[in-house]
Amino acid sequence: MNEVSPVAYWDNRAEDYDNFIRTSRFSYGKNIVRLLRKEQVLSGQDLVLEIAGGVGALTLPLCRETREVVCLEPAPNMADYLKKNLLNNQIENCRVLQLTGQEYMHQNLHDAFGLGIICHASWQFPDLEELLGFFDLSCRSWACIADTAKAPESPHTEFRKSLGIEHVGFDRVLVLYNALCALGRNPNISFFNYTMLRSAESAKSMLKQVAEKYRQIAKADMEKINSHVAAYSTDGTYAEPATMGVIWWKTKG
Amino acid sequence: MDEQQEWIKEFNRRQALYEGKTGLGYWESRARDFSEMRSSRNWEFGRRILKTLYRELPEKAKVLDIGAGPGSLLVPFSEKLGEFTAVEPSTAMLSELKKNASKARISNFSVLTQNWENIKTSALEGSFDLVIISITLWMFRDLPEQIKRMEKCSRGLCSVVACIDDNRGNSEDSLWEKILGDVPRPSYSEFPFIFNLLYKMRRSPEVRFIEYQAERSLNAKIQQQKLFYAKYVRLTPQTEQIIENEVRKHSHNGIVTENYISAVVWWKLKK
Repeated sequence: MNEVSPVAYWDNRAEDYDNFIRTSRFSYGKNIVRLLRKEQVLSGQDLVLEIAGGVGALTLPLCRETREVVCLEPAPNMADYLKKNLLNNQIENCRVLQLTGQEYMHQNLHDAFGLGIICHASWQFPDLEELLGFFDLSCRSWACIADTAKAPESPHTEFRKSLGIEHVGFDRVLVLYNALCALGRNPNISFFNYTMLRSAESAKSMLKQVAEKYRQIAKADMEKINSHVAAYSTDGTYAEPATMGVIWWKTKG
Repeated sequence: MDEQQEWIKEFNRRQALYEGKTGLGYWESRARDFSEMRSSRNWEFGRRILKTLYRELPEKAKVLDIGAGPGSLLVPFSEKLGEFTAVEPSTAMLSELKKNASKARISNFSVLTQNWENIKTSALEGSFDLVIISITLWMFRDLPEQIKRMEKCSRGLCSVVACIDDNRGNSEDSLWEKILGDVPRPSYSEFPFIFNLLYKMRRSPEVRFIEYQAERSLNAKIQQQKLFYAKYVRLTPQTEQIIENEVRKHSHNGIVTENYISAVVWWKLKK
């Protein structure tokens, strides 16, 4: 869960991810944007860089609160869903570039953005200092990393353990925060709770694909997934609580 | 990583280096220069903390300040908040606090002239909207115990303000090496230990960094540095001269202005 996942993986995840974000009504993205506005990290006049925008969980709320967003999304299916969501919501101030963050880094971007942000994708940068250096170069004011914190013991973590996938995930929020402290970035941090809502079918697809990152899925595993999803679904909607950690700091831009 | 064990290691290392006056006696001697520093720039240190926490607090919030010093928080907080209780064992600090309060025409405060660890928290249980300890927690060996005691007194928010060790162009940056050579400078910072500890206790701690400046007269700064180094070495005329020269280099028109950064950490009590 903390390893680089290839573009092809996210291409296959696009459908279930889109279902999650739309069913959840872009809620965690809205909360992040609300926080950044409150903390005066995001202004209505900013040009914002978002790395790995996915289907637009954060992109759409960002676009509503700032001048323009440049959103990088390398997975073609994800980018298609993102464009569709932008269109359906009549949002026109977003440029979608089908590039990875690493590919985009090679462009000359000195001070181009007010804020650089990456949500649910920090693990795509095994070299954190490379990402920080990029934010320093391209963002004149702020950088932000948001990610879901490791969940406390719950039936959901127990279930993931039983699938054999919980142990591979360390707490990215804690690790990133301490790394930023050690690198002298003086990072601010805030937390909020949110609920991942998605159709039961989307939840099954997600759990299957996450498990398949690590091993072959057997019939018994699928039965376990189906029964877990059924236990936590109401009227066909699966719900799982989570906590988002939002870390932001001043760039050296 | 076991935060508490790491903290104790650093705490013990600092204690082992002490040779001179530390603890309460040290703070009795520091009261004047500390008051000058904290009140400078219209209480900038306290105002920055207040600005960070203000929107988290109810109107007329009741505050318990542990290690209140010369009123670093009392004066700026009292303009905006309610009743204020200062915990401060040093009589010299309290005398500065009362002087500063009177100058600012503040009267809605009370004082507990005791060491925090001697105060019975059962008598204060759930009495305050904010329990805060600023640049003071480093004096305690047992951080989890102090967190629990703070939480017991609070009915809303707890906050730890921690200093951050970094070179910001102050006279202190180069003095340690000149006086103590290659002895590693001990850390006084509770950060990020306190964040990690609270996070593991599942408190979802919020952190905001604040930057501020402080001013002291040249003589007050020289006196402060002499007292600080007297904790670690017996001062000789030569070391005193090194201190004076270094501080003088950083002064302008008889004033020493310094840059600081602190982490304001806070968490809400779970209902």
